[in-house]
Amino acid sequence: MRQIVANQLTIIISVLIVFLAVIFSWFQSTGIVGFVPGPPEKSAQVIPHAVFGYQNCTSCHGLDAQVPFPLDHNSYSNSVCTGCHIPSGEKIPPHELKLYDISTLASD
Amino acid sequence: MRRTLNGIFWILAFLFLTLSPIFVMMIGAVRPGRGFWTELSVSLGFLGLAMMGLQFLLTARYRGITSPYGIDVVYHFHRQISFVIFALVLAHPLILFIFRPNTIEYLNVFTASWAARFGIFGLLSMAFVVFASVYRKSLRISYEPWRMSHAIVAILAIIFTRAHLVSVGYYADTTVKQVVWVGGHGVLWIGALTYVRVIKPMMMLRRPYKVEEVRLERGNVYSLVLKPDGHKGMDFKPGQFVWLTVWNSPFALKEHPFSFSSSALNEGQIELAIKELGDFTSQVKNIKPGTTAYLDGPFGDLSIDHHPAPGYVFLVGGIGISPIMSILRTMKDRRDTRPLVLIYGSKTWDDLTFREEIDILKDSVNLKVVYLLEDPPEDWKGETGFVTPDLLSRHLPENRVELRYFICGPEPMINAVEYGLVKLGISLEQTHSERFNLV
Repeated sequence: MRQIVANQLTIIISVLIVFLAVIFSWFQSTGIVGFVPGPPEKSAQVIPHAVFGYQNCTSCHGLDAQVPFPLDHNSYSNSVCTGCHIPSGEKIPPHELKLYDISTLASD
Repeated sequence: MRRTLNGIFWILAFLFLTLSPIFVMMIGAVRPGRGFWTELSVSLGFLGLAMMGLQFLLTARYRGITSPYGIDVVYHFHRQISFVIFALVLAHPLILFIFRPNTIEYLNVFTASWAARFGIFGLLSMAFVVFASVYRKSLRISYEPWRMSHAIVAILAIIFTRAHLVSVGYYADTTVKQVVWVGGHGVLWIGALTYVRVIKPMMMLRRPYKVEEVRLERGNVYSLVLKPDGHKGMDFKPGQFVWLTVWNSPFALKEHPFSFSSSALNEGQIELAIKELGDFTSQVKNIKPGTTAYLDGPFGDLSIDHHPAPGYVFLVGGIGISPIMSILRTMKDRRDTRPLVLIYGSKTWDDLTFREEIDILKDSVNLKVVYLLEDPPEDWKGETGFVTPDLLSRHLPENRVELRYFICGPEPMINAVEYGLVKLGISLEQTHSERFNLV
């Protein structure tokens, strides 16, 4: 009897939590409820080189780095880059890309 | 009524605290969404982490939380919700791997960022906590090493997953959000941890007990008689239990739960009936009078004071008699004459703990006793075997639907008795039992 109480409580809370997570995700993915809109989808450049083995983006990208990024990117941590910039699937290591290709993309 | 309101309050508090990460995400400028599946992955992870911290509150044995439900219900909820938490946290990377396949590269701890490494270590810590708890007995891990590793690895899981959240920083990118996550939620779980590991042991240290006597009873049971040392002792309800620490400091967390067997009105002396069953209980006979002991409690919902009724039926197997003795002794001291039925099962006639005293108690309280033996002597004319619906229907009074039923004994017996009572038309709301065989 008492186990049933605990089980029912667990099921009710779990269903409610997953439901709210789905609602939040749906709102956040469609830009409802007055969230501050992010940059237009097309402005996030595709990563034109391989990312495997190059997780530390800031070793090359930074305000004063070899490949500069915009000023408003300065507060972003290294781990969130691929949240907006999707890897293109290219296998070319970054150092084999011509530098002007990358800098052109980064300054767009 | 107050217990019900308290119960509702704690459920709402749990929900609020669990959902607080979603509220925190919406503070100030909110980062742009990254597609439904990525956001679902992240929100499930956040909710899992929030609940993970609250697990420490559930096991802190804070009486405000345990009293509305009973501590066994809270512990069962802790166990069940931990599977949900593990599923939520596991869903976080799995969804990402499916819908953003490049993220699978984060599994390579040698090349991954520290954010990803923290996430992997956190998930592995959680997996250890869950699997070690589920398979403790199969893996033959003793209770005390398991308990110690459970606490330490759970703390590591919290630290790693918080580090993952802050180092990824997408929704915790401002100082305010980091303070709320690490500080606000941190206050809750670190507070609960401090309460259990430091404050409560200090309180116990200030209220020691001295062992007065270790008395051998029938059925390899020892009555441990304790007297408060320099304080008034503990108020408890008949049927409740305490966590006992002997030979160790309360800080060592080597404690074991036992029911009171003495009357709740017997001020200045507490008795616990302990059967020789495991590592600790087989050493109880070696406790010397004068030894210092510490008690944490009282806990438990299995009390006539919590469930008023015109009469009670006690269905007992083995050492389950301990809390019922506390109830019978208290009713005698209170001159309570409500009708009682005790159906008391044991292996043999000689194993029936406290049977002489129970027979004497029949003169003082309105008690009918039915002994039930698994292995009866040749001249036995009483009941034999196990509790069945047929046996119950023979011995329960006609007003059986008005009574409350307290079931104490091994888990298979509790299940069989609950089944038998339901067959006789007794609702589950009228039956009360506590199960602690969780790990």
